[in-house]
Amino acid sequence: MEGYRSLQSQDTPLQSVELPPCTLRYLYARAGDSRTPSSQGQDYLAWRYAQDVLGFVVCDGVGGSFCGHIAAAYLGEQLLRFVFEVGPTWEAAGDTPALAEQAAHYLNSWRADGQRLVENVILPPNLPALQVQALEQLRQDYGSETMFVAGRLNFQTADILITLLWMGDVRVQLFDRTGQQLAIGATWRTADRWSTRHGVNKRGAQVHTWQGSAAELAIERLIAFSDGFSSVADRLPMLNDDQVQQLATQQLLAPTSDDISFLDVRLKQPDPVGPDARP
Amino acid sequence: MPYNVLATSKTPALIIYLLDVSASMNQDCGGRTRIDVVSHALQKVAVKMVQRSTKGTIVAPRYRVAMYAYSSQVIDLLDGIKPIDELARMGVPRLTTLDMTDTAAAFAQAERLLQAELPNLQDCPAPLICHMTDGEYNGADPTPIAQRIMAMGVPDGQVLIENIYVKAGAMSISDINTWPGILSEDELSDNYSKTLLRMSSVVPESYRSVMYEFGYQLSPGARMFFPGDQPEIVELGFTMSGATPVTA
Repeated sequence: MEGYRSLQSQDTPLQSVELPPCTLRYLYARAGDSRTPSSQGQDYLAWRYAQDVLGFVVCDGVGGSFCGHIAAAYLGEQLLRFVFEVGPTWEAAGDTPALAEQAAHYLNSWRADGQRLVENVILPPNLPALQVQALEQLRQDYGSETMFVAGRLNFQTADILITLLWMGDVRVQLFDRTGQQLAIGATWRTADRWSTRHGVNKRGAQVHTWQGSAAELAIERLIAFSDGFSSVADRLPMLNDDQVQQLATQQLLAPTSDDISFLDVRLKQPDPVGPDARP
Repeated sequence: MPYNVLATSKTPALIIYLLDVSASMNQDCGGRTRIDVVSHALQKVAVKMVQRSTKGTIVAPRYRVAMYAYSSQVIDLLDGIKPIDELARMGVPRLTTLDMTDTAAAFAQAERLLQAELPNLQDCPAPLICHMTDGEYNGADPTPIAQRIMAMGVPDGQVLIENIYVKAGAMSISDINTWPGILSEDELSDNYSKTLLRMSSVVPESYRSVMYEFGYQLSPGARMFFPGDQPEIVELGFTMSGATPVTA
């Protein structure tokens, strides 16, 4: 088994990994105002490859909630486990409205444990009263909130089934062999958030799902990223490793910089077999 | 004007409060004194600004705040402009009532501050003045100064002015969360309300979206004018002052 989990207190420069069925590139970088010794990035990025399945998660903790990094890391771990444990059932069922409902059920079931983590956070003793009031109100009213995209790429069959699950504006893009981006009917609404206090039930928040066959749709590539890269989304597929790293550095200098999580999965073409195979 | 520049540590929003502390602020407002209602609303918006500036337990200086109380003279409550993280450390100053209502002097103070600050705010959100009063001015008419201020601006937009008019019977709102706001003078009965309305900017779309997230449903074209002595209206007015868009 191979994998990666971001440390929210530490950046990960662009890494490349060769796996049997795909090549992975990933990067984790904290925004300028998350780089003090006592603060942590609000994003969480993780992937795992086991038994011919690649699971990944990109979470973007909401800054204006109570310690968004807590929800990001907690939910990230839950989702990563989920795509391996529940993923096979989903693949068998196909992409139906019931899938989103079922996902919402799981997401809500993790709420209590998440809120327990939030309740156990002891605020630093030296915080001013106004800030304590602000944080306690967030803890009580919202809990810790995060947006996310989680995915499962099943390489066990020639079809390579891809299942995606998301809430919020963490983006995922799919590209076919010609480099054309596939429309997956995605909406990226920041109002769609998961919180330790409310689960997915706050103000009409929705869980979105997508499932498709890489073989059928000629999918060759998947890119997922948090909003630190949103403004340069169109450029990402064209960039080599150095350029991605440079772009991340540039983005972090911008006034509106946000944490960046980036994952780029390139599927390897199956070895040609049969009468058309070339020597 | 777009009013789309986000308030960040590098491009903070400047919010200037002009607070009438004349003696009439001791009058009743929903079972409390007006000054108590305003102090409470001010505390709530300070908390909201801190929340909107917080990552983890770190407060990023996304807002810069100046606060002037005025009566027959103008008092600088914060001793200059303070970043929100510093205001969080200082706490919101306590308001006490004095005597007269020299509104023009307060606006003149804001104009001087803006003249000094605007050259440094070219990449920042348009500044906002939040004026709260409970009665007509003594002394000079503040309108010409307010109009000069509304003509000042940065690339993000002209300086915004909002007015909170704590006046008994000015308006009765049954549900503050669905109230569409004031759209025209025809909705107002007294002359000073109309004067203040003319000194009030239209709510920018970006602010309207943020207010929607806060649970308010102001209509497009609503003005930044909040008349009435219901504590909910006062609170809505102060909430507006902290609604500069920020990153999630």
